[in-house]
Amino acid sequence: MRLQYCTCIWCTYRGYSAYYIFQASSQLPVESITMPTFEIHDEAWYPWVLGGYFALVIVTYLACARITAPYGRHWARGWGPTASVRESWIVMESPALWATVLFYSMGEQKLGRVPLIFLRLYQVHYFNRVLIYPLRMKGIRGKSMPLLVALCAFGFNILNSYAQGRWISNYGEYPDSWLTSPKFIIGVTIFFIGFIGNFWSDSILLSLRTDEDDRSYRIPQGGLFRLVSNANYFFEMVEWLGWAIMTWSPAALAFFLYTMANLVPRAKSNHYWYLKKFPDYPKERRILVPYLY
Amino acid sequence: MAGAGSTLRWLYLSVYNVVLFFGWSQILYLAINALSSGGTKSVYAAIEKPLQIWQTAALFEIFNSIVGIVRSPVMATLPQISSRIYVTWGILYSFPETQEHWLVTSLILSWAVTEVIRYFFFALKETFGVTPPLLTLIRYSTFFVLYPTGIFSEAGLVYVALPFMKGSDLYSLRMPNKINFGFDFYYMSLLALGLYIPGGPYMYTHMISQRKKALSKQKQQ
Repeated sequence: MRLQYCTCIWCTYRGYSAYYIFQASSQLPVESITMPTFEIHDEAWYPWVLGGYFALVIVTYLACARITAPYGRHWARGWGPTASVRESWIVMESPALWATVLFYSMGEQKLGRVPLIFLRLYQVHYFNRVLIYPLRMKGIRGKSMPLLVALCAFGFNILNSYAQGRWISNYGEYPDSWLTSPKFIIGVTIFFIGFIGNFWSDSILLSLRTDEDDRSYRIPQGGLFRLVSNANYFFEMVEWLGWAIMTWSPAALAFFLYTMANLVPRAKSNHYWYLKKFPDYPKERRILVPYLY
Repeated sequence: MAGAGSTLRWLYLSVYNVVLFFGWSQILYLAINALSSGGTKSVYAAIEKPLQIWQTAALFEIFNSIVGIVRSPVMATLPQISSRIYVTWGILYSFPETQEHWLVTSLILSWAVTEVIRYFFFALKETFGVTPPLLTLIRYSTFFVLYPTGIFSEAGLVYVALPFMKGSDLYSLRMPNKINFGFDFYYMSLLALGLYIPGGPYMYTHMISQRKKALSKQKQQ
């Protein structure tokens, strides 16, 4: 009982200080760029970028359906120069933090209450993805991933940060009343369910291979892994579905579709990889969606 | 990791149950307040926003059961939450003509009283590990009245909304269209109404068996 009370107090303190730092860090770049250091007049080409983004969704799906990107368990030689896994993750996902803020700060609605909330929710996900997630990886000293994969991810994140950042701070219309609208209430709830589920699924996966000397693969157990092989991908899709509903924007729709185009084929590869590698792999587990797929 | 995991579960469930307990208490308070000062017609306006927020938050319960944080079966949680979300957003929010109907009062009172008791029960159970016999008895007995009144109110409000659905094109996709697909919210709602016929008894008997289990476990303690 005492342990639980202490944990409560510790979590509140850590939670509050993390929130404070997060608050300060997310406010700092935005408010300090109120002087027109950058202006961007992309009214003419933003729609084309969006169109290109949707086209990319199709291209990505076709590519990922044929080739499984050679990182993680699907690592393979012959894909060119490589870089360390941890550094690659941090750098390739980093634009979602800095590029989003950069593009966001050029927007006309950047000081609006709702755009700022959107920005911070986006940062919650990516703070975890860019900093916390790679730093939690254990036993990967010396492990690498092809630079090509990292470059593609980096490029995508620049595109996505531009698309999302410009929409929520400039092209979207979000009066304060949006916060009590059905789209926001339902969207943000789904977003948080996705985030918690994704974080938990990541935790399960990260705990499977932590030893430098024992890099053997294991079957993930617990959480949604009882029902699907790719719980982490499922919840990531749920997150971006929530994001798409709460922002109700074409950019967010493209992002959600892109996430599916990227992860659904990979989930299938992962699932068959599990079945091949582990003869005793639980047969009732589906690929990605509980009970359905 | 296991220790930290179960502490996180404890923290998460405690926060969830406590927050929702206060949320639904707020709804109950506002509803009773509105009833006493303005009558049945004023109830919805008073509770609309809190209802939308706290009822939507219950989506977490589908998450909790599908992921295994709690033991409730998905087959019981999913129909329950689905019908709540459907009525809250699909009927009450979408068809303002239903909002002043007296069924809203019976609906909100049934839902709010049930939820206040339920979340209080789970808050005590998950946070402190206690299940006081009297509270357990109340939690597993009020449904005998509140399920029928709640289900009747839900189905009743869907029925009240039907003529307004027919008139409007809300949530419907008319044919002919480019993708050659039609969807009519009116007919979907008729289907939903039909589902209350097997659904109601299913949930009711589920609660009865839950009651047997809970009360016999109580006897053993």
